[in-house]
Amino acid sequence: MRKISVILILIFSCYLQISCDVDAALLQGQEVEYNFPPGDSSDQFYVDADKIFQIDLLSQADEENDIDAAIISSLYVGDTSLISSDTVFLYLHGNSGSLNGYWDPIRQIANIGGHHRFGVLAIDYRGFGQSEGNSTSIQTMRQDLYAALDFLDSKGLDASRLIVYGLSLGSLPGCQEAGDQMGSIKIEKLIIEAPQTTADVFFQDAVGISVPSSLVTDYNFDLVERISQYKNSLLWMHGVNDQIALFENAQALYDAHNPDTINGEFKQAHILPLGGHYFRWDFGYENWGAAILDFAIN
Amino acid sequence: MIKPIISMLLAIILGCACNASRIVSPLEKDEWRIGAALGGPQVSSQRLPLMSIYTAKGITEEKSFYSGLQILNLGFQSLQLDAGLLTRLKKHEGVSPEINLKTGLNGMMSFRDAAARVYPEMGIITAWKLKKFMPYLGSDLWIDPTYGLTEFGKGSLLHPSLQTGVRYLGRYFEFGVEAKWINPTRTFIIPQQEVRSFLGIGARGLYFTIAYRML
Repeated sequence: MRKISVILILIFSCYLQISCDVDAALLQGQEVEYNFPPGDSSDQFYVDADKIFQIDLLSQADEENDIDAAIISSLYVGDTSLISSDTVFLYLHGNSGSLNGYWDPIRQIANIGGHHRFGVLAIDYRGFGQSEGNSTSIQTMRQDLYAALDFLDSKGLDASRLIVYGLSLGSLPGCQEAGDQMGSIKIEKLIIEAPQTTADVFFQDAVGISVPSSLVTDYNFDLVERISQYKNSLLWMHGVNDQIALFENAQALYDAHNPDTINGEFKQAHILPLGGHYFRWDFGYENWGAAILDFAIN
Repeated sequence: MIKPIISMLLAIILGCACNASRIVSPLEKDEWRIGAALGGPQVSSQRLPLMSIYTAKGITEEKSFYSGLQILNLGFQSLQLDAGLLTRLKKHEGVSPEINLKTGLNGMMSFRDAAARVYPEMGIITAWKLKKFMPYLGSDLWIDPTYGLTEFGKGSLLHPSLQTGVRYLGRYFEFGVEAKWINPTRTFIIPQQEVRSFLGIGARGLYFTIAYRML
């Protein structure tokens, strides 16, 4: 009996000491020094050095979800004084250390259809790059997204000139907000590249049995349900051989979207039968840019 | 700091569906055994530190009860228990192995929202008794009665695994090592990680066990 008591105490102590969630393991944010070289005129996607801005944004607290405020880092490529008249992409990056890793697609988007044709705002989520805090739930990512929307709103952007781009992990805040539409600017155009779908399917693909994600995390999300509430336009890009965000899962996400076609909303998909998770690479930069431009001006 | 957390995460994820065999042959009548298992599936270059403790009791010469608890899951605010019976169907004779039937249940519950699952399990273990060593081959079959709850219709009712290993049975301690091929009917997907497998399917795991015998 005494032995059993000791064992039980050890187990309980273990529980108390390592009350963990999987957020920290899943998210691969890294603290780094930013490096956004503009390139030169021989560079296909070069940007003007005076149109690269690092801007700190206040990601607000959310008391209901026990989330503190944090300063997050963002990058604006373009002329901030023209946000009130430009079309602007809000780029929500994937699960890699920081914005540094996304500099090429960001500056390409800025140059799609012409040199600095579009403004691009990209944010580092909490715990990525030089952003404070940690991303611990879809709610913290939503707060970061709101910080970006608030900034653009303060500069005079309206919904008709905003295009939200969610890459892989970035599809979480992007699709969530597309369904919620609670931010300071509504989302009328959403692009998702290699999106995730639900927290449950994420874990079930890993385990193979019908386990709920709540067994290991409170990082709960259901983008299929959220996207079903989104009635505006959607562009989906995905490689069929994607082993990080499975194609068949994302297909369900795309199928759940019902655009308000009566009011001219639509959805488009670009599927690469042999493509993997690095869609832009597999599709080719030119094709990738052309697909985005087509969607942006449609 | 992150790497150990990743290891624990992956252990939890894949550990949901695999354990080392608690016992491979019935205990002596009224014998108690308290043990621990360490190891798990291989993901990327890491072996997962899946940790569990278990106890077993010989009910008769032919039948033993066992139960186990995944320690690591507690840290992730969930409970995973397993319990069952191991029944000898045939004794070891010459080169003909002992054949044992394993029947049990695996239960999981989240402390977050009380979501719970129970997975019945059955398996066959064939073992040879070579003095103090006991090599064995076995197969397990997990049954997922709630496979309909799996997203996008991707669930399946049956989840097999194959294992082989050897146990050393001393006077007071039992030591074991076991290799396992987990669910060779499917491919495991963990984003940005490579689940090591045989022939590109399932997952492969390696476990070490130690148990204290109370005769």
